[in-house]
Amino acid sequence: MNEPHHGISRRDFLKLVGATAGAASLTGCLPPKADRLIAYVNPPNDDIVGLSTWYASTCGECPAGCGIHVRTREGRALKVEGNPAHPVNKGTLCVRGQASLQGLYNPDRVPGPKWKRGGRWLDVKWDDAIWMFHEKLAAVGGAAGAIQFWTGGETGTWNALLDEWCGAHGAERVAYEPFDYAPVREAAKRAFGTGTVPIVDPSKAKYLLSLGADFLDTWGSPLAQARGYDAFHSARGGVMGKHVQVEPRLSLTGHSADEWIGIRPGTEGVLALGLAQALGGGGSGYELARVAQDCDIPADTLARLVKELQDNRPALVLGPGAGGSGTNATETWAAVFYLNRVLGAVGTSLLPSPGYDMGNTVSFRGARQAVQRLQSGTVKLLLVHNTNPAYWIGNATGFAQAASKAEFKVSFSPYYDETAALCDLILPDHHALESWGDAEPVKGVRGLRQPAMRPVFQTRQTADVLMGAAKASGGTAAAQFPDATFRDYLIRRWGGNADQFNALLTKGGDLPAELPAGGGAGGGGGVPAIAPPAIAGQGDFTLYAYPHPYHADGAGANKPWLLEMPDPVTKVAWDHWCELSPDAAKKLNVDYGDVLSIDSGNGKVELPVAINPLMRPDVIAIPTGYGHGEYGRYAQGRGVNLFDFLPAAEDQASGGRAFLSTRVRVANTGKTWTLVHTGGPGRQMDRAVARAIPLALVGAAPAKPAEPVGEPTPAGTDMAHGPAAGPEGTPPFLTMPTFRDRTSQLNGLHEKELAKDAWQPPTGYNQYNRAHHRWGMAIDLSSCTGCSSCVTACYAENNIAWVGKQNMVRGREMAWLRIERYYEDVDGGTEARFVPMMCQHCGNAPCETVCPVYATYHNPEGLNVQVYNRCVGTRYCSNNCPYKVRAFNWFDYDCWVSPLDWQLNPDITTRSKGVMEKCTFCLQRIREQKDIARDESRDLRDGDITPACAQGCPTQAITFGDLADPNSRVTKAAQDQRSYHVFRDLNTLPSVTYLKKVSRRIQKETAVPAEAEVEA
Amino acid sequence: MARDTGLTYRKINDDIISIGHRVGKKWLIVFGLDLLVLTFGICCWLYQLFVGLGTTGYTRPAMWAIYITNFVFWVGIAHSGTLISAILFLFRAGWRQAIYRVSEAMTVFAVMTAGLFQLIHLGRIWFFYWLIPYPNQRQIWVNFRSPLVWDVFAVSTYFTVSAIFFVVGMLPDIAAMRDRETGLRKKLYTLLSLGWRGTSRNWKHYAQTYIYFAAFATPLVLSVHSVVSWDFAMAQNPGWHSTIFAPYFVAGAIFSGMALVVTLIVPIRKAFKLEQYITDWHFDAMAKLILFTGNIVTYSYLTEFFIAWYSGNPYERHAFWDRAFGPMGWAFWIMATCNCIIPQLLWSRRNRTHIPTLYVITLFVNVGMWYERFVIIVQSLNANFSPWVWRAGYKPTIVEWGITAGSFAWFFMYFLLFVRFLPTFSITELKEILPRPFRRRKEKAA
Repeated sequence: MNEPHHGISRRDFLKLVGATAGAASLTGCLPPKADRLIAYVNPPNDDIVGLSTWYASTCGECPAGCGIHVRTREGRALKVEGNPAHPVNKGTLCVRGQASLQGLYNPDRVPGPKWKRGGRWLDVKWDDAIWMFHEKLAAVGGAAGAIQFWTGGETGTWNALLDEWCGAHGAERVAYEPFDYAPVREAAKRAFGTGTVPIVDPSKAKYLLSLGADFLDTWGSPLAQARGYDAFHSARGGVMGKHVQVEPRLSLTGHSADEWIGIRPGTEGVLALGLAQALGGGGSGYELARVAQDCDIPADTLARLVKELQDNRPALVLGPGAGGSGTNATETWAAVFYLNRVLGAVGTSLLPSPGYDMGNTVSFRGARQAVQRLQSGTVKLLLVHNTNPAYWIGNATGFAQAASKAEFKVSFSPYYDETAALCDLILPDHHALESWGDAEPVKGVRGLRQPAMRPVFQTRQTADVLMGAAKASGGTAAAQFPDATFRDYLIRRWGGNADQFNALLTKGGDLPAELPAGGGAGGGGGVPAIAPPAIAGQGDFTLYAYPHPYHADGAGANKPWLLEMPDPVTKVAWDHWCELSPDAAKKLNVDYGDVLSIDSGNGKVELPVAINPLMRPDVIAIPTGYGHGEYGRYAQGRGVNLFDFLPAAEDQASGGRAFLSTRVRVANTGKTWTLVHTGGPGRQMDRAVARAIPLALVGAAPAKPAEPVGEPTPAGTDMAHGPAAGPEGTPPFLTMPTFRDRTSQLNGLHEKELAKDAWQPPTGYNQYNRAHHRWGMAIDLSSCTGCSSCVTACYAENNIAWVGKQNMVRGREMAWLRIERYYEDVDGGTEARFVPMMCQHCGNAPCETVCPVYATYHNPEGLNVQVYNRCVGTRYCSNNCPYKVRAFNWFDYDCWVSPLDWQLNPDITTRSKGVMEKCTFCLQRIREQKDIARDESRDLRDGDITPACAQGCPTQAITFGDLADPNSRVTKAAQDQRSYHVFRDLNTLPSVTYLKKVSRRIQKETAVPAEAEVEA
Repeated sequence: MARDTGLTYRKINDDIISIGHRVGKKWLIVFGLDLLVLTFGICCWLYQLFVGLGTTGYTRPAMWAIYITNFVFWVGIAHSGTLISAILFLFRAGWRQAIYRVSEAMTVFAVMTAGLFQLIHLGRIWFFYWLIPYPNQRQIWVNFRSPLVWDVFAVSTYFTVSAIFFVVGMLPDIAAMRDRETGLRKKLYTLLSLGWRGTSRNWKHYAQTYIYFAAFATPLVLSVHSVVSWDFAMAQNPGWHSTIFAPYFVAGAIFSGMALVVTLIVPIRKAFKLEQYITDWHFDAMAKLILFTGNIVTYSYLTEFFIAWYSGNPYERHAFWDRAFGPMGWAFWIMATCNCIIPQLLWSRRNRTHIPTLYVITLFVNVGMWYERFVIIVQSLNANFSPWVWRAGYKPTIVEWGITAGSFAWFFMYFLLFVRFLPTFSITELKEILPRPFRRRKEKAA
């Protein structure tokens, strides 16, 4: 069951047909069944029902190790937010971190220990399962190499414990992850002697040349990089570094770039050496003419790049990510590091020491060797934790077949993944949000992890299981693990003082204010040499396999939020796709949804096409992460497992997997696939939704006065009445009192506010019903990178249903916030602009006048409020909304399969069928902060209230606040020279102000078609 | 206008009153099939009610689609009835007398069908009464600025007035039937004739009432569809936000209503051999009205396109370009062919009086006018302000088609009952047009 079920069974249907119309219509009115409202009967003493408890912890979704705050209510984790004190993410959080809740509450988790008998999983008691594990361990008897322990790339205490445990039991540890940065680390070892992934801080650079690193999305530590990038590129203060993205396929990071250059895949190293040589960095044989030919980049473009790099030092250069890693990936990165040295980036914006620790993974080559040992039969006991080799290298190494040689196989996976399916026993681990632990993504940055709630299922932390096994085995192994629990072990390793430890827990760990910036590190050496990548296979297209921005190595594919949310680049949801350039698509005569057959010579797959406007025509790009054979109802049966499709090639120097390793034959099958593709034509159609301002004009005197903020009335005036005649020449009838003024009084809304300002005769209508706040939002399009973290945060905060593919095809997604991505033709190519679009809370809202029952109305604080209980579902409001930001409940979406429903925010409702819903500016958060302020007998301060979208935004592009406060950040932002309102010519007077994207590539602003007339 | 048709009072009484008895087995078969379709429609609606509106093909941004199309279509159909019975009555157009009863019946039943769609399209139909302003302890009220509330008033007023008009107009005829019938039918007619005795006092009141209601209903003909058109014109969506909508919709309503009158009358005339009553003259007059209103509608289409271009408004320009040449342009071209091109055949008198030709033309007009509403609603919503949500994927599901078919069945169910049990043609007024000399001749013979 991949989709939420909305249908009706045949049996129900027949019953229904038999029913009389009267009885049937009555049944339609019955409310859905009531559930338990409070999670437990006897709450702990410190837990106050109705108040949130926050736990500082560390995200477990990727090796970046971001600090998080987990909001819990009545013992259940509801929302994950960034920890502002953590130097990696500083309060921000990415899509995957936001969605970790759906990993925690995933209905396809392994609910308790399972033992496979006759091909079926049987429930076993923990005691029995542990006993079985101990028996098998004892049977092996500590013989060297008899135990193989596959783990993920871990850092911190858990990594140490694993090493210790493996040492004590003579086990071979194989830490494997597919995106392990092996070439980067190997190159860093050669260039700097470090062996870690250098910390990248674009804020210290004047120029950024990325040769394929998707550093805002999937490469490195995206949140830290996005923060630095924002300082580098958002043009605050009028200074904006130039970012050039050179890659075979436009990535999400490329969307933010000032220039995009297509490059023949695998030749990034040649380009780096050519630039280094041209910049006087030495070396020979890489003259620009040759580089131009190798890389298939015009020579004058290269000459211009050289000049720009020359003039803008320090300039930072990054190499390719996984997609561009061929058999020469290490040399490529070595060349990139060399170029960085030439450009003076090392030690300023490229910080090799200490660098990001990605865990001591063994690389693809090491994993293959381990599988060979497994194949040879010497391994008796196979243990697997937090890694999924059967999915990642199943085809490349014959993992399944090799694993069958082991006598007994134990998985510690919390999910039924592909590798767990091969095992005999599953001892499910806790989810990261239920676990103790720590992470040290960068040496010196030690984040603690603590359970935010009791385990959802009958799981046990693997660290405890392993320590218990060591104790049970007696002897030296037992002596190594004296602690009763992993928590004790953790405390001991953190200094042994429980009080200090608890103090650190509340902070999230031992966290410096900034990421440690070590020196430039040693090493160096001469000009690296580089060979062309070995690309096997026949065909016109090179296969470019890149990590999916949400599913990454496949771990995200079981989370419906991530499946429903459109991919930030192609805007495809739910399905797997392959990307073609428009030229290639024309040649093959295909468009969105047409199915291509892709033949690499040793395998053939079929995938629907999505078109990427900026791509080399000889490249076909496919994201990883789909094609799960196991891994739960949401992940299974979607697309193709690219890891299996790719040949087993490796980077010669590092042993990392060469993802860029094959050519493919591509043919149009003539079939079509219903591909969910949001976004209409993807162009603005001259409607000035996403506006931009030339860089040269930033900071210059504005050509016209800044646009009015939210409303054309002076700050502090009540907005519930529509605006007074403002500088815009608002038609006078808008200033007349409206019916809603009286109804809101009659309904006793905001009695407090009303009581303060006693009712006066309506001489001037703005004098009564005065509100103290006027909520507004400002979104800086120059900062927005389109990552969609805000969208996930909104789903998590506001109980937004996901509707499944079939409904998304009909545009029925419930997202209150979407990222519109427009391509715009500008000088020398195509520019991408992102517009986060949510309810604009218009001062003169078209939706409000047309609702026949006042289900949507204007509250005195300027919010456009939707009263779900009052809505009868005419959908007129949506028809009249120019922004089309209203979502209608076509069904009672029963998508929250238990225990996913545990995540529902109790501060707001879920919505039933037939009701319209939309962005509320996180009204519940406004209310919460008002309550806190009242308890503390103070006024609200600017910044107290942060809606979910603004909270996690990696570049803090969203500012929320009180437009009635002339000093608030949002007022300042709204008065910015770059501020504008979308569809301003419709006189909707939105509360959301956008700040124009700063563009290097336009000379003047695009005219706004209908605006001139309105102003005249 | 008196015309010598060879009719006598007795013959009129015989012919018209006997219609209900002449229906025979065929009526039962047709009625049975009709109920079958209606049942299917009800099942579809129950399914939609239980599972949700999502069982339809609604595709954002088209949050209104077939149901509102049907609503406007049926309200439009309802217009010709009152036009014929009220406006043409006031203008003393003699040709109305033969057909006005059928079209009045059509009006009442069409409004009853249209009203259903206002409810069917609601997300939460069980709260439909929240659209009605009535004093209540919850202190909630309707939003009088919303055209949907105006709709509630317009449609309910129109239904009330046209239903009363319909019933009042039938009084003498029902009394005539009462006098001839026996058994159950007699009881029914006795009740419906409200004690009509045919006294001169009765006739005086009848004539006064009739002219009063005719005068009362006349502005409604214009206002109801104007209000319905404001559902669209009051919204700011490109393709909707236009001052031409009210007259344009009224003309379209009369156009479609007249076409359906012809569509309904031709089979009745054939089945009950009423060629003497409904002559070429009647069809010619109706066809002229169809041609006239059809050309108003065509002119409105052209004006819309011209204004879209002339205004320079990019939203309007796109909406109308998309309407004709966009992904759902086929709907527009069906509409234009059926409403603008095919009715031009009616310039020829031969086509106007050649019944099969006229019948086929009116069928095309019915289809075309349905598509007009579909085009205005779905295509305008698809071509809205925000290009990000443009999606022309709307395809009605079996639920929508089932309910639509059911609505036709619902309409025809009443119509079939009407043919069987009520005077399908106005006996009174048919007698009024008999020429005097003829009457005298009859008297002499007696």
